[in-house]
Order: sequence, then C-alpha cells, then structure tokens
Amino acid sequence: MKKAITPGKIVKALILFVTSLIIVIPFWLFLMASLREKTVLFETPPKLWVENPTLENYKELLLGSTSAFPAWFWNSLFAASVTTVLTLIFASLAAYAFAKKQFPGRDALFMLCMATMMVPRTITLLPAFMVTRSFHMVDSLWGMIVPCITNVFGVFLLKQFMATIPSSLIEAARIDGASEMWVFVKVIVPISRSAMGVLAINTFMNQWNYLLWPLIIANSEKTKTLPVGIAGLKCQTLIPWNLIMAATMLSFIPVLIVFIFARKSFIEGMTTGAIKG
Amino acid sequence: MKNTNTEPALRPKRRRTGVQKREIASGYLFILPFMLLLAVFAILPIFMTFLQSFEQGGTVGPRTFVGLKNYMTILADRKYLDYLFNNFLYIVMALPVGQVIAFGLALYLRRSTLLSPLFETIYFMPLLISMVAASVMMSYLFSVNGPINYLLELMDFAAPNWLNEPWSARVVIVILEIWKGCTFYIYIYVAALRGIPNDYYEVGLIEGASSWQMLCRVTLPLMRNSILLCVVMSTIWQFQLFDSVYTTTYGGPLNSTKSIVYAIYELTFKNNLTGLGAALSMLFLVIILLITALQLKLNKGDIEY
Repeated sequence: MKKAITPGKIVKALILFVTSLIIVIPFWLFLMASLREKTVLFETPPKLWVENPTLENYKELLLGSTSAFPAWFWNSLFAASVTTVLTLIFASLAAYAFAKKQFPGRDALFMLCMATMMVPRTITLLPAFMVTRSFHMVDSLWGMIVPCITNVFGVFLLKQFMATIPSSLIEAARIDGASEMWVFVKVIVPISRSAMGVLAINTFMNQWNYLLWPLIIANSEKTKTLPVGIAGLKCQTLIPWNLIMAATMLSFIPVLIVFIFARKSFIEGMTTGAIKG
Repeated sequence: MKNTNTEPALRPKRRRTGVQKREIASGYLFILPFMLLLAVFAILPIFMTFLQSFEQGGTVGPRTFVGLKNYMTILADRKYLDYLFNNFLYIVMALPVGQVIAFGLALYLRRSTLLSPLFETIYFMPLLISMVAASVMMSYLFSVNGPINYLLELMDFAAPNWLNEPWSARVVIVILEIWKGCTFYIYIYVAALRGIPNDYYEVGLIEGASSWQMLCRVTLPLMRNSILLCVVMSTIWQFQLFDSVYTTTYGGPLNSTKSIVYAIYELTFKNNLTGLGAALSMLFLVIILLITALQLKLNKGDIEY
C-alpha cells in the first residue's frame, strides 16, 4: 500500500468534497433563509450567513393563531409511530408462521403475498380509497395507518430472518409446555430484534415522508400530515415561503435525532430492502 | 439441544397428530390478521381497479358499464402519450447520470478511511428527508429571485424563469430527482464492491493492469447484477414519480411536466373521471409488470466468485 499523495488521491478528495457541498448547500441556504425576516427573504444576494437571525418565522408557524403546523407535526408523529408498531406486530406474526410452521397452502399464500408486491400502490388508489371510506376512515389518521400496515416487504424481510432461527429452540420451549403465543413473544421476537429494528426504521421513514396516500385521505387542515401540509402551503397563490422554510426545517428534527443515535442501523434500515430484495 | 431432533419421533402417534393439528391451526391464526388486511386493502382493490376500468362514474354515486370505451379514450388522446413521454424523459435523463454518480462515489468510498463516516452521513442526508421537503428546497433554489439565478446573473447569463418554461421545468425535476435519489445507490454499490474478493485485484496488479483496465475488466463485470438491480429499481421508482411534480410545478406549465401517476391522481381525485383513471392505472400496471419481467429474465445469470 502506497501512502504517498498522488494526483489521483487529490482528485478523489476534491470530488468527494464538491459532491458533499452540492448536498449540503441547499440545506444550508434553506436554513439561513428561514432565519431571515420574511420581507427580505428573497433579497439578493442570498445569505450564507445571517447576521441578525430571527426566529419570527418559526414563532408564526408554531404559535400563530391560524397555523395548523402543530397538528400536522403531531399527526405525522402519530401516524408514523402507530403504523410502525402495527406493521411490526402484523408482519412478525405472519412471518413467523410462513417461516416456521407447516400448514397446507403455506407456500401458495406466501407467493400470493409476494405477487401483490409487484403491483404498486399507485395502481389501486381509487379502490383503496373506496374501501377505506366504507370503513369510515377517510379524513382520519386511521385511514392513513390501516391500509399501510399491509407491508409485504416487511413479512418477506422478517421471514428470511426467522428462517435462520434453529427449530430446536422452538421445540425446546414447547417441550417445556410453552403455548404458541409464549414461544412467539418470548423466543422468536427477542431473537429477531435486529431485523425488526431494520423494518421499524424503514416503515417509520416511509410513513413520515409519504405524500400521495395521506394527501388523498386528509380532507381538512386538522388531519394533514407534514408532507401534505407543506405541499399545501406551496400551492397557495401567494406562497408563504417563510412558513414553508420553517416547517421544512422542523420536519427534519425527529428523523435527525433518530439518525444521530442509530446511524449504522439507519443506513441498513433504509438500504436493506434493496440488497436482500 | 442436539437430542431434540429425535424427540418428536419418539412420541406416540396419536399425540403427534394432535400436535400437528395444533400446529396447522396456529399457523393459520398467525397469518390471519395480516392476510385479512392484505386481502381487503391490497388484493381486493386490484380487482376493483380492473372492473372500474370498464365503468364510468365518480368516486360516489352509480357506475355504468361502458366496455372498452375508457381504454379507447386514453389510447386516442395524445396527451397521455405526452405524459408517458415525460416519464421516459425523466428516466432517460435522471437514471444514467444518477447511476454513474453513485457508482463513481461508491468506488471512492469502497475503502473505509477516517473520513468515511463523515461522507456516509452527508450522502445520506437527501435520503432522510421527504420528497416534498427536497422539492420545496429546489423550488426555492430555482425560483426567479433565488440563489441559482443570482449566480447565473453574476456570471452574466440570462436567468430563466425555471419553473415556468416547459423544458427548464423538466430539467429542474430531473436535477431534483438526481439530488434526492442517487445517493441511495452508493450504499448498495459500496456493499457489493466490498464483497468482491481482493484476489481479483491482486491478479490484476501482478499482470500490470491499469486502474482503468481493472475497472472495466474486473469490477464492472463482477458488479453486473448489482448495477442491473439498481437500474431496474430506479426505473420502477422513477415511473411512479409523483411527489416532485406535485410539489414543484403541479404538472404545469401547460401540462408539460405531468407524469402518469400525476395524471391518474388528477383524473381520479380532481376531475372525478374515475373510469379513465382506472383504465390508465391498468395500462400503467402492464408497463410496470413488463419491466419487472425483464428484470427477472436478466437476473437469471447469477455471479459466483
């Protein structure tokens, strides 16, 4: 291994540095603009550093009497968290049976699940909306949550993992007289923690950032999620850029917190679908 | 634990069937909640879309059977071809550039160094945020008085009204898709690159291959499957492009940026022409399935090290 600095290494460092800047600068400009007073937002030159930062835009967004932002934030948090928890429960139950149980039609049913993965959700928007409406879940957070629990990819991911659990462990627990549910909760779930963590991050992120389905389900300001709310601000004739900027910046916070604490599993959670799929 | 394998065989036959019955019943019970939801919210709607594509009516109220009329309307109307053209345009412009950038950066990040965690974190930032957030950020950068135009004016270029001209609006969407999406593939390529045994490169070094030859003769052929996977995945995702169009241009100016999914959304939920929306969905599904079939066919030849 050579340690000398070659032209190739300088080019490499330069390319990595420049591409990093291309990614960071839009975030930075947006953050800086969000700290300017709304009357001078678009004044040139765009500021790389704001001398007199003001939190007025954030204040208007969080405390303004007409602002629905706190509701959007809460809705996003609620919908993403509940979807994640329910997905984990439903998918792990099904994955366990598909991986470890013998019953007639098991493989055919699993193939059926996998086949539905090939049909994108965008194909079935209207019927899914009609079904959701027949359950009286339109314009409610449950209408965003329940149809999204049908995460076949999650079942696939967990099944792949659970298939590697030795059957002898399950047998041993059964001989000790454990019930089926006990085996699942006390043996299978703890062992599958890592795979379930990956699925949890994946599900939460997808739901937190999802626009199309919540857009169809949310008919009023109080049920909008963050992406729907921000996109809604953007389509007003007089675009309230100051609010959009502040709202976008605040929408990063929960994701950022999780990312900082679990960077490794986060990257795995977001990309694993591709590698294993 | 090693004796448990023989355990079931030692049980009396009558009890074993009882255990088996319990096993079968519990198997069905465990998949029941998920399968019910899947049937109601995913499988049933697929058949409903198919039926609705032969009907006319709004999201509420009665529906009438019209046969193939919806399909005829769509196939006869040039504008749907234009939307499909837009989809292809986004793919043709965004996909190669995005994949080349991702692959190139992955080559640089293949070996972990002190700075790798920093770059890994930075390149992950666009993946953390929603497409809506990325779209409003880009809309700001490319707005009439925005930073990009400021830079262009500094360099004495004419500053276009990016989102109000058909072609520049498409370019903004392509840039947005590349910026938001391409770093995702870095992580897949890095993982695949790290899986290539070092022996291949050592043989190359002994034979005096240049780094360019190594890339073309060793790395690229071995990465065939990963590249294929990324290309197909990217194609299918790009085909479903909706968020970026909805948040930057709303399909305008003059429908010039609309994608198929945007058209489905608009027909169904804005114009209340649900039959047309369903027919367009079915045609769209055919395209998606063709791409998937192509992927399965190409993926047959697996690489073994």
